Amino acid sequence: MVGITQEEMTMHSREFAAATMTPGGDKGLEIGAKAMAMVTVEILTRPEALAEIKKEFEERRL
Amino acid sequence: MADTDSLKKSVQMEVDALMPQLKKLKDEIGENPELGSEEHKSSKLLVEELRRHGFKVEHPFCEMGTAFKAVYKGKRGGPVIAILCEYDALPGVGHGCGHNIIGTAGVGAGIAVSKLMKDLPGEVWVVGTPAEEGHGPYGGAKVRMVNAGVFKDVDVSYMIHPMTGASIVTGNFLAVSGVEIVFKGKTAHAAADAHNGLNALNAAVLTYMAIHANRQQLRRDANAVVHGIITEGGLASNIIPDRAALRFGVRSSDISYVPTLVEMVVNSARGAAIATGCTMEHTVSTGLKSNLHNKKLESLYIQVFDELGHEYRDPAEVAVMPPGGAQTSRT
Repeated sequence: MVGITQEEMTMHSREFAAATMTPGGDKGLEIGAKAMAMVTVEILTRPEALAEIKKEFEERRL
Repeated sequence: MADTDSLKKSVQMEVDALMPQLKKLKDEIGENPELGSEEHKSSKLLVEELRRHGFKVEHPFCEMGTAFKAVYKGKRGGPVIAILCEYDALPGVGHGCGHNIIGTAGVGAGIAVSKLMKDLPGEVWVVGTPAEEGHGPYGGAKVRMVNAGVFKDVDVSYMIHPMTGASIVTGNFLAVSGVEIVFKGKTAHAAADAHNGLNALNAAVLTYMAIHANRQQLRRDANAVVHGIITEGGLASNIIPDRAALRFGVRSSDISYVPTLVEMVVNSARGAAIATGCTMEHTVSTGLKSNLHNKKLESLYIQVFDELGHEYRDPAEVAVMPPGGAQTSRT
């Protein structure tokens, strides 16, 4: 989860809706997109990483 | 094939190039919030962007008008990675859960990676999962997709979610189920003829109070949470209400405790029905499980946050924090 504001507020609020429209919201969008894109590159180029993720999932799933 | 580090640099530059358009989409969805199952404009905006960048898109998808699946194929073989989008808003507070950021970040990540796919084996999917907040017929869309086999051939899937405070790469989320209760009574003039009515609102209020009293008896070790509203409580003060309805969510870190919580809510309503002479019907939603941790996947996000110079809370500290929300907010 990516933090987009340091102001005192709660989720599921009008204040948080407003925060998504600020530069903090823009930055959260950028960091979120970059982080997912970079992790995707890691997984596409390193089969051993994916194997480890899948092994862990199989061990833990209910 | 270029090495992982240089590809990660390239993909960051792709996101930078997309940012003006992504920001525009995020703000447009933010300014036009649509409730779950009604995200027609929002899903269309995201789908149009994906199509413009060469994704093959199914929309509607999985028998849901506002769901979509967008695929970009690389070289043969390799894994299938599904990046998830949400784009539904909340009643009264617009994008108070920030799904305008989730949807556009997912689309941005997918498009950025697609620019590298000609040299990489595998497929990148961007999947639009509507009604995460549970509003309307597409509530629990991800569960429906799992049951329909959408993720059968997917190797790994993720999404990001905005929050307040510092970022986190791990966390504990509660299993959740929803209960809807409807009471039926009998209308009558509320002053002249009240003794001939059956007051469904009284049944709803008694239910609410019985659940409230029962909270003390819930298992604290199971992080039980019960929350709800009265959704219907009559039409006019001079008519005894013949219909009243409540909607409750029950959550716990122990999934085996969820049926007990559901039973407590339903029994509270049964008691209220007997007390008032009304009839009662209830429905229970499919529900969602609590989350499983994946240390390897978490470690990859820690690594890229470090590379991006993005600060996050100490995962060891977050891992022992009591669970707050649910796996998703759906009830």
